[in-house]
Amino acid sequence: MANVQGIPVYKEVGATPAPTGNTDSARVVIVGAGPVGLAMALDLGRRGHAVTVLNRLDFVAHASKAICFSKRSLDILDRLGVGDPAVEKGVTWNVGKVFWGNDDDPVYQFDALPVKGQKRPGFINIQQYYIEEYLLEGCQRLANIDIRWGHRVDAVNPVDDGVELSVSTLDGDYTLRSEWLIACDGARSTVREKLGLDFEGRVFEDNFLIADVRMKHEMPSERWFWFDPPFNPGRSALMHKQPDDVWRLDFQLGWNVDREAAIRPENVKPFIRAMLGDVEFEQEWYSVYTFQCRRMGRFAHGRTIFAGDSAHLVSPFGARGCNGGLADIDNLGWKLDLVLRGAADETLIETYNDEAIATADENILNSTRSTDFLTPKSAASQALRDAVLELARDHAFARPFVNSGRLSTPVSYPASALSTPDSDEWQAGIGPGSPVLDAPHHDGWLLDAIGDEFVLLARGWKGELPAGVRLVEVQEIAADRLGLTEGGAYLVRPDQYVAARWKSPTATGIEAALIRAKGGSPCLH
Amino acid sequence: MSALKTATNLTGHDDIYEGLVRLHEGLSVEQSLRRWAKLVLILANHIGDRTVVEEAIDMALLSAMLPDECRTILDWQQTD
Repeated sequence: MANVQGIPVYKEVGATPAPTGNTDSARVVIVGAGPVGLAMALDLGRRGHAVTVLNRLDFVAHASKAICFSKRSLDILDRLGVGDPAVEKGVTWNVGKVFWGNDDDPVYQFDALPVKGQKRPGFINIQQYYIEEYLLEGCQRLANIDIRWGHRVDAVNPVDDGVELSVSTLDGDYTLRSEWLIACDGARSTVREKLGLDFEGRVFEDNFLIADVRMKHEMPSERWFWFDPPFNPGRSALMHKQPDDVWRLDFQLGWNVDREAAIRPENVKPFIRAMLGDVEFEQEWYSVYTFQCRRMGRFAHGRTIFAGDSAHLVSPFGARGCNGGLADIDNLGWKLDLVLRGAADETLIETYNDEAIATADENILNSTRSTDFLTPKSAASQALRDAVLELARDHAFARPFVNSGRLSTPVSYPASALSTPDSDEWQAGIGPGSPVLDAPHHDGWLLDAIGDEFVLLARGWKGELPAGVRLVEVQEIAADRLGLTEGGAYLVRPDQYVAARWKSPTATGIEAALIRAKGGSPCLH
Repeated sequence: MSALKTATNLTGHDDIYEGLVRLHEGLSVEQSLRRWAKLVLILANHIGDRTVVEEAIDMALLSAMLPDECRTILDWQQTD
């Protein structure tokens, strides 16, 4: 089923009526009800804020988009209360294999979850619309989240202490005044365009065909990638298993191709037949994509904040697009919460700008490097790539050079202004500015016990805690992974990143680190 | 201090040179490029020190340039 715009529909919702009167106001407006916008709404909604979401379409689209959701994204979905349905529906995988030529043995393989004993796997594969559906169900359970379908932003005007939007709907236009605007409206962001903001980067001269097909096929739940396979000579291919017997097949096409012709079923079929033999399959979705690595110069522009693809774009190799967007809202949610409650200064949002840019830059760097390996730009880089593959077949030392996509992992902020540098010597554990490593904890998991507020993870520490910090006592493996000895503690941010750690903390030290983690200056106290 | 040794650190230069020439006998430019690349990867792994390899890359990059170009590259690296 497709709608008038030719976009296939996963779930009809129907247009939301325009508000009565031609003006309206809100504390927080989110533009875009994709996975990033909905996760942002759910995070702020769960923290008790009134949130208005504007979505141009009045349905959930059924399209070929993100499919690989990382462990960190699953941790975030858990924090938002929707991790379980995603993992139940999704195809769990940890191992990636890279093949070269017609060799049945991989030249390289990796494990996306090197540390076992964590609640969530390295990855799940699941169609983006399922994630949107689960987030949407989470949002619909909260009366303070108002999602408006079929409401299009036509103009964006920054005003004193807020933003004024012109919104059009089928049954009338209105002006919406908001204290904060979060633009989660994708790669072709309307908000970014209306504000005339930059979006600089590189375009890569290559085309890839995505064929999502429905078929019965046996293969381990792994990511399989080929360089120069017999079924796509001189190019690459990628295969991922999705729920519902859907398979993502991705074929490198090269630069000079007729994109419209490439997605015609009669042209896709030979690729699939060459790859899988004489299998029965149904077309789910075919598309051809090119890609770019771009980002905005800044993600925070006064009271307008950008998150997800509106702020940064990467190639799909490495699953750093949607996972990068979820990292944004994870970082922004608790900060905006504190600002909205008056518990932190507005300058805390500037640290979102810094940390989200650090994340985007790491994602763009990795994605660009993968792309340079996949699509060598000169005879010399082609020779280097092929030399790596040839050596990798016989020599283990060359295998780590093989780059078919470095898969998304959480980004650390070693230089974050919110972190209190170590004052003790640490031989193990997690440094300030990095996310806590999950571990078995009592009958459950450490990250579930941390939740979404400031906590002190302590091993046998006794003392007085500052207001707004919850104590979580850790022992055994959880404490060992943190390198915690008796009497030590970690102060953890609401996004589960380490703010500070001590071998033997004092109440004043914890208080100072807390103030700093909220964007204040510890010197003043 | 530089980690990369740039003082003479080998003997048998003519033998090594000959070996490097022989490495490419009968190859097309494309095959030859691939063989150079293999040699570099093998040596880089043997060196086992990323700083040394990176300094060697910088030295190779700068040695092919005129002084003015070098300065531009170095300025660019510093501001990057």
